[in-house]
Amino acid sequence: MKKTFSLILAAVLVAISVAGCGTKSGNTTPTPSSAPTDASTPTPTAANLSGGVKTGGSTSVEKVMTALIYQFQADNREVTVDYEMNGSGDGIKNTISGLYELGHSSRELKSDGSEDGLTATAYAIDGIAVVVHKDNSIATLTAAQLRGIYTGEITNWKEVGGSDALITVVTREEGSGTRSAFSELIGFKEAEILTSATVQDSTGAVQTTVSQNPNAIGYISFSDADTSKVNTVPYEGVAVSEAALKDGSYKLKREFYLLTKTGSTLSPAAQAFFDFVLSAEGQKIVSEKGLLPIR
Amino acid sequence: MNNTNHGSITQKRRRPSEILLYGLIFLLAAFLAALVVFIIGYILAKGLPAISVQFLTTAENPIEETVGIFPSIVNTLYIVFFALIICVPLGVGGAIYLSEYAKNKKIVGAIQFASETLAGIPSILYGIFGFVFFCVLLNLHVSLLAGVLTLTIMVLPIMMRTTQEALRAVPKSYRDGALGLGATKWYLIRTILLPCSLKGILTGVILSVGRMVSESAALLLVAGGSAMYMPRGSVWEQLSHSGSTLSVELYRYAMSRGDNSTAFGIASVLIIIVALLNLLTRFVAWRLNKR
Amino acid sequence: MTNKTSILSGRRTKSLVERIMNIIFLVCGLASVVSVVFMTVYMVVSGGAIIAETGVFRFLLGHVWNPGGSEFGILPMILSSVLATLGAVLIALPVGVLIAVFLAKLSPGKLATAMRAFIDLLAGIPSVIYGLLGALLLVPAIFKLQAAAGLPNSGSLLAAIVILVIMILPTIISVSETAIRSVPKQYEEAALALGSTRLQAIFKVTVPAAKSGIVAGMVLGTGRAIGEAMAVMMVSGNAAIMPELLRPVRLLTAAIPIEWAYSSGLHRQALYGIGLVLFVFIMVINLLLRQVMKKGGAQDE
Repeated sequence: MKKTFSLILAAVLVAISVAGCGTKSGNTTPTPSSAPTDASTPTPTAANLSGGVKTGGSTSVEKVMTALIYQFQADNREVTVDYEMNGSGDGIKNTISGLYELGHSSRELKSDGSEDGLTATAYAIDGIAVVVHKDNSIATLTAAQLRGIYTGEITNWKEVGGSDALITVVTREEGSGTRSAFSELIGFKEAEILTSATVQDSTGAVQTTVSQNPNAIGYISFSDADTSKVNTVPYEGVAVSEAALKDGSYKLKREFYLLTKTGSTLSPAAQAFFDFVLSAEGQKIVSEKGLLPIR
Repeated sequence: MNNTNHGSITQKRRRPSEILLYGLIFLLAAFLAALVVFIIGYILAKGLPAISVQFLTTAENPIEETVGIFPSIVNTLYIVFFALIICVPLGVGGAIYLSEYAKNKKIVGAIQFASETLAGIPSILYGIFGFVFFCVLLNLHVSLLAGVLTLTIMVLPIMMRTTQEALRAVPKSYRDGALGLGATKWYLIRTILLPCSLKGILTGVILSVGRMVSESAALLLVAGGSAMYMPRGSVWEQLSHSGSTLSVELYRYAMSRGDNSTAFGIASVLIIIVALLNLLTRFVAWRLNKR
Repeated sequence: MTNKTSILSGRRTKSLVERIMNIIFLVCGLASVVSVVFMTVYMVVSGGAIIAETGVFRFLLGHVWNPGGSEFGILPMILSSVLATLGAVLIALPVGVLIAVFLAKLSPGKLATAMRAFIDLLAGIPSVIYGLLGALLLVPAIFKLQAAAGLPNSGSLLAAIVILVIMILPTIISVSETAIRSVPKQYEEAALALGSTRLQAIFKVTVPAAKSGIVAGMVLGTGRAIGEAMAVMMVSGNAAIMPELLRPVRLLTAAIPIEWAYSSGLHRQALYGIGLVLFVFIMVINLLLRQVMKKGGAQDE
């Protein structure tokens, strides 16, 4: 029994060390050339960049940021970009303190002075989609109607042209960049949101809630909207789509930002990543992920 | 059906209230059984289709939009392994102290109380404490290492309790015999007590692993992160990064991404792991009982 | 083998190794004490900040939770947690005991073994999955009730209670079953010999005899119920309002992770404060129930 046990323990140790000894021996990470369709040839790197870049912040930018990091790391095998997702607030704070070289934010910096010392560079435009249950075929909602719904003045779908049913309001949590963007665009203060509104702390949770509740309404990042689960509601008569975002007819949108400390220089690796995000290839990835490139 | 003599010892016939009670019990049991089968079946039905070789052995590729949970599997292995390295000796040592060495009632009482208290604290509070203490104060930042330390405290009571039970089960005659022959305490522990309590200790290890594998709330706060990359660099480097274990990754897929099918896939993997751990416990018990 | 103890002399001479091992084991034992001490200190220190800032009463008894407007009243959440836990335990305890009786006394061996295996499996399912299942299946099932009551469909206190019941049942069942099984058969046989029916013997004799074990199970179950965060977050609606059965509520535990990521400064400290409140609650419950168990144990003699 002791023998078997020590054998098992040894096997586990070996397994862990093998697994842990990383990708230097090049395993299953596909190279850019094996990516489908139009992932173009890797950006030639002038010097052999290496090192680690610490970044962190918003969770809303996860989808596009992970793709950008993935591609950048594939192009620059010696660089590791860390992306810690603890929220825009954390990203801002830690970029100011220097812990992160780059911060991620899905909202604008506060102008009250508490977030000074940072430069925010927009790299993508994200639409905010209003979503309802698949069976809810409401044609459109205006800003005034949305305001009424979210502040509790309008309580029944029939008041906005739907069936006779009580509206279930779903919102994101306090501090969410999406929430502050949405409320600012529609024109109500966050404090005015119905206190009995259901609060979910992520896109997935909002989407799941709305997809299960015929009378629910919520707002999520357009790039995350899964139309097999929910319907997107046209805003002021304009359906949300990349085209509508591009030509400006769909008005609910906000930008994703890369944050840098004003006045300090980035390490070569960090600078390269920063440039990559804003480059043609980076912007192509941005649009592949359902966002609007900034250029 | 004369029910006036409720406590009469001459009344042995089944009264309607008894039939009702039997009925209720059977109904509840049947309902629970059905519920369990349904829950597990639903998870597996939704999750097994998502599992494939690629799912288990690669990392996520956002460009090709494939999913892979290998990094989180590795993270889970790391966290569990290193946490065990610390908490098994600590837990076994503590239990040995309590049962073999402790004379002072106060110290014994304090340790027992501490252990029971730790066992009752919910994981979200471990998350807060771990964050404030390990991540901020000890400057470990959100990392797997902080996760290791937090989990260690969390399962310490489990190791201590199971080891204590196992030590208690060793017959007094063994101890008396050894001491009578002139053995020292340490010798006694080394050659007799530990081998005899091995079953209990192993059970404790398996229980601890089970607890660690399904832990999500605390690790979310303390070790956070996503498991995007295939493991690179030295073990120490990896430990000092943030990373998500299987449970945390499940949470991420379900919530941030709304990818329920991958979430169920991970859940199925976890259920299989838990089932294997349960089987392992029974196996250990069976094997060691044959001695 | 170094024989440092002479059975002829009365005193033991301790070798250096002995002393070292003694100290090592002592240190191991104290690890838990040290952990608890540190935990208490840090919970109090981190949670104390918000209390110092807003005052104990405004924090604990305030009705409004509005971090954006610097209002940090957690009374609705405290009440929601209390009601959810109470509801869950009140349901899970009798159900759990009845099923434990079934497993221990009334079911054929093979069925019992199979059921036990499944129940153990249930205990190992991660809470996030319970949350997901709850959101997909349980919450919609309650919509009809809400519509009938004239309320909008949403997550609810009821959903939270049901999910908690399912989550703590395995604990209560297994601990109660162990307790019932360890009651000596003679008790039941004596009752039967005196003419009672099987059920009477079980419920009037065996179960009361297993009381301390059952209470232990209840304590564990309560601890789990009050501390559950992830599953509850997905089914309770997370509205920080005064609790009603069919309206959305926010429990103390769920309040922490839901705003953790974006919080900073005073908001973050408020979350620490919630943690402290939870910590105090749990300590109090543990101590109270420990007292109850001691008393109950004394009575059994």
